[in-house]
Amino acid sequence: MADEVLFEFLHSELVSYVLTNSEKDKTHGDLSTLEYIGFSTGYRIIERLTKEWPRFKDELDTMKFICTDFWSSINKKQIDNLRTNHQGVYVLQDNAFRFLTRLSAGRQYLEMAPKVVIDNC
Amino acid sequence: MSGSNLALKLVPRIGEQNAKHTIDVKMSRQGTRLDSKKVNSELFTLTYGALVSQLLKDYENVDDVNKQLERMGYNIGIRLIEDFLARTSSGRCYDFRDTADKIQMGFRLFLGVTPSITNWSPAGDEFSLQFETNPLTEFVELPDHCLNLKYANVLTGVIRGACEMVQMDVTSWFVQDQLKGDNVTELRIKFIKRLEDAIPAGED
Repeated sequence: MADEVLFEFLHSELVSYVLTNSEKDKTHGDLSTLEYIGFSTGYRIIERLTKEWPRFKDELDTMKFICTDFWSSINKKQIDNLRTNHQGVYVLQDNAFRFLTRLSAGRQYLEMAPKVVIDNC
Repeated sequence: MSGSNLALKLVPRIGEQNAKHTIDVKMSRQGTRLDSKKVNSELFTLTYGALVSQLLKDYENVDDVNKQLERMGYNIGIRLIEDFLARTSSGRCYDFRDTADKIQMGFRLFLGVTPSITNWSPAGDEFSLQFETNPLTEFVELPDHCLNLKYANVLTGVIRGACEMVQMDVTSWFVQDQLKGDNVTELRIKFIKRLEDAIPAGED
């Protein structure tokens, strides 16, 4: 049981570390490291969470899993709106994103969700 | 890996353009079939793991990684103490034994583990916290080339930062580590001095 405050602090440390580094390397605003950290976290956690589950029927089923089960356990709420054009494009909308309600600098997990989809496919 | 990364970057961009051509998907399920507590603690553990492995990639020297982890812990600690005080509404410590109890309480509160307080030095200024389990290292195995890595070194920073905010200068280090084959993980904490009228760094 890691308290959620702790995770928020860790996350902001992470963001500040990545930003300091990208400034040092003169690649301003390069968030690919942050994205990669999110990716490897997402990859592992989904693998652990879904190992006992039946296979997802299709892409949409996977997406629904992300938006309902996964999102609500992490963000304390279900995603507000999921839209698709049925050609593989999904738009996830959350009106009170947990990491942004406290501060406006957490971009990592917006990126994490799409990654998670790919892990599952 | 690089292939999938590329695809990931493209998805949101296409999404933006086509957002107006999308239709709503009905999500019937309410609530979750997952254990939220478990998901969050695993998320924390795995994020920390990803951070450590990123640091190992960025720095050539394992000692630098340890230092960086400690620094990050410090930054977390100076903020975390406020949350601790607010939640426990605890007052001043009478002596260092009192402090030890509070640190133990902090671990229970934030990490859900209760380390035992042991091995007091005769002078009463040094003690050990022994962990049977460490949530940070739940999924971790150290490869041979980073045996010097203090994986959970962020904890030493957190303790230093948190104590500094309540006018105590302490230092801590790992004596035993389960990742290195010891039976328990032992963190030794030493009291150095009381900070009187501390001036924030950079303002003197």
